[in-house]
Amino acid sequence: MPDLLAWLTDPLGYTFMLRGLAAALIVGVVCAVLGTYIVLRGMAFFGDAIAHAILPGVAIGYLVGGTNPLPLLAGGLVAGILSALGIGAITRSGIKEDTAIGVIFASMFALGIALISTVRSYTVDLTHFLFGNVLGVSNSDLWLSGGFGALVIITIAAFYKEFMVISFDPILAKTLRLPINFLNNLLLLLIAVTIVLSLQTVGVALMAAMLVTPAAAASLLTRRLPMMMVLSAIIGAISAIAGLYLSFYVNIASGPAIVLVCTSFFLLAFLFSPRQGLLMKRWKLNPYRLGQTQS
Amino acid sequence: MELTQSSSVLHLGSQSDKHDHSYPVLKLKNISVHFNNTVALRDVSFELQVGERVAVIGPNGAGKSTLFNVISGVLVPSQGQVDIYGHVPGEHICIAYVSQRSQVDWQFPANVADVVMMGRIGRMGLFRWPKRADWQVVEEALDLVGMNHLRQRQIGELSGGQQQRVFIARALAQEAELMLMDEPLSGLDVKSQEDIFAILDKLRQRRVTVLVATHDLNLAAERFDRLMLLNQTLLGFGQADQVFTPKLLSQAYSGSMRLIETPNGTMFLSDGHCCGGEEHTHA
Repeated sequence: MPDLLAWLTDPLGYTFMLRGLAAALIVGVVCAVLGTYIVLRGMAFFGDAIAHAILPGVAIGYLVGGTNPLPLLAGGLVAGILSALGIGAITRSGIKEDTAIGVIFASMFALGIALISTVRSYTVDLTHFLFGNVLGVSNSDLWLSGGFGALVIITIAAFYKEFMVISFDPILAKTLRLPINFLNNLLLLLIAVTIVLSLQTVGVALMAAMLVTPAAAASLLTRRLPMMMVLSAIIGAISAIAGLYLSFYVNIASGPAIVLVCTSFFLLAFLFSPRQGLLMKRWKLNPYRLGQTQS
Repeated sequence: MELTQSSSVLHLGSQSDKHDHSYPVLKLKNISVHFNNTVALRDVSFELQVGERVAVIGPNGAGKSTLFNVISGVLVPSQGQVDIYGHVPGEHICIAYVSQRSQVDWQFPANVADVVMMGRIGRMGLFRWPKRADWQVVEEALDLVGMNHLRQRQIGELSGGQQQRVFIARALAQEAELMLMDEPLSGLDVKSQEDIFAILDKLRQRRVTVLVATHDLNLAAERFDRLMLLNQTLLGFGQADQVFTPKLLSQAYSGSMRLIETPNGTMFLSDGHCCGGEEHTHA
């Protein structure tokens, strides 16, 4: 028993681990809650694209201010919003949305890598942007993520029912005179903010997993939106913490570790969900069992 | 399906106080809608009286959905004027658009009561959560459509007729006085269609005006006060015998319907392409 306790508390002796755990927890929860709307509205590819498309903005912020989090955040936000607007403009011209997303996301990503490659410590910096560097989180990073994370959650709570209606039935939203353009743009803004604040924890390449996987797992476990948000947040939080411990003890990169734990939750839900799980369906349909228990 | 009219929380009357009933509930004047180069509606004018039940008929692409979008204020017409009790539609949330069932994702994580509560959201305002009065309205709306016993049911587990009743309950929770129903009867069995008509009868008692787009000409002729025959223009508006004339029907359904004169009267033969939902071919 003391061994297990020590196993759990040992990493907490390092301040970089403490800060990393706090950052991962914030990101896990915020991404997972916002992710429910992304999953329900079928925006997974869009979220992934915006995550990649913030790279040039982040790169410029980095070239200007180094690791100072504010320029990084501002640059990332501007690039994310510009990309979202660009995708919208191209789509309105008659090109399919997924094509527009593909064009914007790859080109912005390329621009970002090109900018970062002008720096001498190119490979290290790039790796951090791509896959995260949660153990390098500073106190000011943490405050910033906490503040913006709280802002995202509060906004979702405030507009919960409006976001629900525009996700379920846009025509109803229109006849109820909801401000649809404002709500859609607000959601895009929340996605951009969340991606930027998650940058250091999981990196742009793995962002989609944090936005989509916990919500996808939760959608298999419940059929009501508030519960889906709560379960998604719990899965995101546990994945973040367990992933970081995994990273500490098995010595693998932290971002991928978090994502892999998250994916195993999804697999568990996919196989064992009482209502929709693959194995549970098989088991319920098993003729032998049906004959035995008559249920 | 008990009606609790005495202690009704669904006080459509209080909303009506704001409305001047000397106006018709709905008045369209010379409405035209163009999409790029195609004409969806041309010079449509008509008036509806309070409590009327009107069927909107016409082939695919006749502009039925466009008409509903204009009336509900979702679409701004290229020309013409819409009056709801003498006001423009954008100022009203007492118009409900009962969407086609195929237009929403029924796997959405919500139960029956959640979906009906969505109708209250326009009245709650931003940053507000449902109050007890809102839940009471939802319950009463569900009672009226006979779905209260299923209020905790996952919406994906409902039959087509039940889904349609949930949508009508949502329009009731919105306290709609004018309901626009897009193909509420298509794909339903006879029993479910009868359930819908029983609800429409109750709506009439509550002086709710109902406009129903349908492909079923028999039901349109038998179960509605007036019929509106539409094919870009308003070809006819009146009782069945005024609208179902060989001349008007062949104007509306030219190409997709044939008229055969027999000793017993005129026979209409459809080519069977009329019932596959709205395809907006703008033929």
